[in-house]
Amino acid sequence: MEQQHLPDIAQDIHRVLHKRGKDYLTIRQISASLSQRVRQQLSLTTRHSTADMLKKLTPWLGESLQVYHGPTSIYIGQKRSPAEFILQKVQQHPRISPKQLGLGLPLSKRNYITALNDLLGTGTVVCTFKDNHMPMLHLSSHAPVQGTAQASTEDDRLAFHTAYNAVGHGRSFVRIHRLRDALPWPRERFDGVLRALLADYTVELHGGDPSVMTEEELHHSFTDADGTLYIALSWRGHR
Amino acid sequence: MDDTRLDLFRRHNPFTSSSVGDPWEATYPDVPSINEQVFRGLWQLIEQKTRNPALNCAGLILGEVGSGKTHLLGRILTQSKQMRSPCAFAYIQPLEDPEQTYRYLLREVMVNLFHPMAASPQATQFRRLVTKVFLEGSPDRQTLARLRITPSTFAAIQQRVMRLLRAAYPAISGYFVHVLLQYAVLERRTAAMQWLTGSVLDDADAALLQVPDRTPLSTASLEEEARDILTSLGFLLTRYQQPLVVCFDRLENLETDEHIHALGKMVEFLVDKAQAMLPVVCFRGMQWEEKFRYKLNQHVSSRLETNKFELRGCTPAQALAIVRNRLAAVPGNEQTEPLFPFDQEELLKTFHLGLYSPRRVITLANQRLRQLLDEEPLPPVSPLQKLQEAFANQYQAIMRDFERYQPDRGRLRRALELYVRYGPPQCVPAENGQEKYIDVATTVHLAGTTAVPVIFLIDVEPHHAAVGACLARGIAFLEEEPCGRAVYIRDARCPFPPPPAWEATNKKLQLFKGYGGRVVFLDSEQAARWYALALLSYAVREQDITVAGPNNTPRPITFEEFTAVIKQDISTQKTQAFQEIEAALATMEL
Repeated sequence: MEQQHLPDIAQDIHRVLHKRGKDYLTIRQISASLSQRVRQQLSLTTRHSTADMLKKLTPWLGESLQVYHGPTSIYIGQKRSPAEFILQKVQQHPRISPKQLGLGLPLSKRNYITALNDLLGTGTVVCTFKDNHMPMLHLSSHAPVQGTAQASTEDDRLAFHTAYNAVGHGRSFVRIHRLRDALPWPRERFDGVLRALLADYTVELHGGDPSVMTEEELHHSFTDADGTLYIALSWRGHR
Repeated sequence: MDDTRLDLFRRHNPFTSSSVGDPWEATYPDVPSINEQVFRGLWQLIEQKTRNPALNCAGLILGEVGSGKTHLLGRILTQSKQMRSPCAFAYIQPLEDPEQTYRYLLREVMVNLFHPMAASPQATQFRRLVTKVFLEGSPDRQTLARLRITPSTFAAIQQRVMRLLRAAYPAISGYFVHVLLQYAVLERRTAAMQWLTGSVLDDADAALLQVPDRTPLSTASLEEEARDILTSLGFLLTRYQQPLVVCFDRLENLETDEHIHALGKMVEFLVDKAQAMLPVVCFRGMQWEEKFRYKLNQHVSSRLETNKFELRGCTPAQALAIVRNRLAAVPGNEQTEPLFPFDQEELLKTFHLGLYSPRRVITLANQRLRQLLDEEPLPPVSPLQKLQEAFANQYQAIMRDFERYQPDRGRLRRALELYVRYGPPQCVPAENGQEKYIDVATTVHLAGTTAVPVIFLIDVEPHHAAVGACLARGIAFLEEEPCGRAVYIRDARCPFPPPPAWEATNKKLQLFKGYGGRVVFLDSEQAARWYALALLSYAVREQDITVAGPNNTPRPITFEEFTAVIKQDISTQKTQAFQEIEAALATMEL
């Protein structure tokens, strides 16, 4: 019986992350924003300690979410590698100092330094210095642009597939609006990745019965260039 | 572009329909490479079942709207026809009455076995089976060409067949074998077919076949007998290595848990109890994964998922092949360019954008062809027009093959409910209105009166006692509710002989009329319209009927649009049956 609640809780956390536009949030932030129904299911109140909240939430995270132990807080967020977090942040904040970068990530100091050193070693991230000797990080200018784009595309495809598996729980027909909820991306980015996956026949779109769906669910489905509505998709892999 | 060359496609656009509807009537060319693996998997299952009839297995086909589920079933039928040892095939639409689960299964299986396989109405799957039985029972196992049946050889064959089969299969029903042999005798064939489909025969037919009267049997006993007949049929199919593929389609129409549970019972029976029968169940992928697999007994859903096949969209080359094959099938098309009037490069550009379902491919081809044929786009077809067309097509299909649409109380009830609820009566059937003889109970509000109770009794029973009991229920209602209305509806194919036959039943009919009850006998034309309405509702729920939506892209017709059409059009074509019903509801002010 309880097993049936699992997707609801994971989905609710995805909804919170999506709403806040974040890949991860602290346990307290997550807990405070969960729907009342989920809080009731877990008997969660604001009086609970972070450790208690963590204990209650952890079993329901599924495959797409993960607990992260940061330097000062504990987080729940989309399942990502440390390198993915670093690359994303550096891309968003070029010239960020290693210290600032580390403080903003849900990674322990040790994990963070190890992942950053790896990225510096491969040249994906480079470190230069300001006039005051302060170090600053940015994505490699020597790395070919295409290579960076490729890495980003590959990351997106991986994230899409991870979300497909997590949301679908082994199903072959996964609703697109649920994938959108699970991937906190702007609409254009989601549609762009989906189109790319369609173009090389990695995924197949399906129609369905729109009459049983809400307006919001329909809006978060996918409409192609000529206006055909698709509700679900199947991962077919490369042909 | 050469306009005269285009005229052919103006007269015969091969892309106007993208729905197969019924595998027995499959008229569209096949592209074998589409879902080839799925087909191969299913065929291997059939071959395994042929080699080992006791193998407990089933097939599950998942595909969204327009993915080709019904077409794939048609491919099984076509392939089977081309084999030296074909399998038997049955196509079954959703059942309506869960109380008659096994009788419904038996009737639909038999109706399919009685369906003509070729131009000759005599060439049926059942006849093929009966022939094998006779050949085995004939002296020295004669060949078909030399087999001569006379009254004396018939008796000898009967004796021998009974002995052989009972020795091989002690559980086989003696009456089943007995009636099966009677099928060969022309004057007993109709009665034999009725008995084999589970009907309650009238006294004369029961005497003709020398079988016990089914009238006193309870519902449970009738269900049990249906199971016995199916099991016995399974023994024969085993003996002659002809597995029966039982295909369940349009299952989105299973509305209640009872209906879903009834499907589960049928599948379980076919997998575990009946030999040589392979259930193949088609569902829309999402509905299966989100709803039906949880509603079915896990024993059933796990059996189905063991051999699960997912239909896939077309590659660009397959999409082109669909277009090419449909063009080639246009009568009189002798173009040397197989894709004329399309430009191959242009089509490929379209089909390269993703894995399109076969229906989407046909729709896109249709849109492009229309552009090529007309400078101005055709005016969009309204849901009303489209449903009128679909209704007319369904009606004609039923009229062409009326034997396949046996009197069916459940389907008639569905049509009646649609008409009563959405047609001019605009009555809401009572949730718990159904009982043994009452199909729909409702109330009407007449001007100046309080609510008046109304019941509809649908009857397809051939035996006078069952008919009498149904009428007695109507009479009892009218006695209890002097202001109430009762309508007795009967498919006229189920005879109601005038006096002096059925003396007591005819008296009850007169009494029923005397109390103000209305009687509606549906002639073949009217019955076909009712069955067409019920089947059309399945097609609408299946989202098989589409119209052009925004940007000229196809969208399924909604159930609300369908009900609007019932109100505006179908039920306002005042057939005699509807007139009678409306008269019963409106003019009986007492």
